[in-house]
Amino acid sequence: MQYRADLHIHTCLSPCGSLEMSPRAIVQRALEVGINLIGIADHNNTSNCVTFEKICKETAGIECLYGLEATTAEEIHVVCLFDTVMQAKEFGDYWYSTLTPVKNIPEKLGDQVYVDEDDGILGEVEIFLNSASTIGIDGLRVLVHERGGLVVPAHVDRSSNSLSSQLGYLPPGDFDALELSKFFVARSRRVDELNLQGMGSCPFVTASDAHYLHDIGKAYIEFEVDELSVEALRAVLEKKRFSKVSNARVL
Amino acid sequence: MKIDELAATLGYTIVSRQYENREIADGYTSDLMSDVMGNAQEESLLITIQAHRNSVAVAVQLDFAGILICNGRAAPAEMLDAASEHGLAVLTTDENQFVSSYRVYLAIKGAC
Repeated sequence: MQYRADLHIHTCLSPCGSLEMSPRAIVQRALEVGINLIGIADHNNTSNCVTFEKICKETAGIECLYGLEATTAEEIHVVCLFDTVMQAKEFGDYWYSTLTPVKNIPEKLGDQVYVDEDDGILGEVEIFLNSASTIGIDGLRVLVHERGGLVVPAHVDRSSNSLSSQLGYLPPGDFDALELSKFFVARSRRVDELNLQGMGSCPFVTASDAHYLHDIGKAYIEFEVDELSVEALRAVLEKKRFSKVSNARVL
Repeated sequence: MKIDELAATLGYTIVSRQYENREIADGYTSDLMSDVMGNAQEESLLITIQAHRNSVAVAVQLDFAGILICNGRAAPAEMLDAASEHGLAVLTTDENQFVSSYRVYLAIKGAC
């Protein structure tokens, strides 16, 4: 089956994510723009994933990988995705417990709500989700791989919270891919321009990093697998049998 | 000591367009915003090389007097837009953070 996948989407749970980003609205928007695989990656928490599972099960033409965008101790953002909500939640609950406990103040920092299929608020997350974990990127990679997940350092070209801004090199270890931001890909920039030593042959992907509905599908990857799974996707990435597309508007 | 006086005394450039000339009560040197959020005092001058909008968000959140960007790094337009929106002073210097921390400390707190 052919997939057009946007594997980095925030929901209303992320403090920087718009409140319009309910699971139902995200799925609807994804279908509208031709995305048939979404990756749910809120900052450091997976509380909205279970609602996505419900909606995707009853909606034809859309599949989901579940996870979060981890903030490591070095303040590098890393997209971590799993096959099932159960796997994502187990990891997510643990990861959330490792965050430096800065209490969220919704009026100043943003709402952190998780909702049901009808956009009804189920609860609010207490710790500020743009806080960082005490666990570094190496520790994170091991934890996620042990649980069968995918590890993709996010927006490596960005000037903040990226491998290039925080480290300037790719640490040794098997990262599944490196994510370029939608603007980097849209500008057709070259990876050798990045401030990133030791990239080796790690594949580069892209995704929207959508915090608003209109950004969903602005960047995606296309690939084909017989049956979707993290393992199948990992193999596709390793063999580089996918293409990257961005139609982000570059000013 | 206020922002204008610090900039003049230590030779720093103020790059934000609109800013409040705040009194600097303290300083904090860090490039990890989570560390700043957990440990810095209000009305501080943030001494950092993280020249981006997130630093402004944190500085505003903590009611900082301003941000000093070291190592000759430039403040990008979106950082300065965010700073001006909140009246936050952004300064730049070619010094590294070790030198700036020492000089700012002396300036606002006097000799040890």
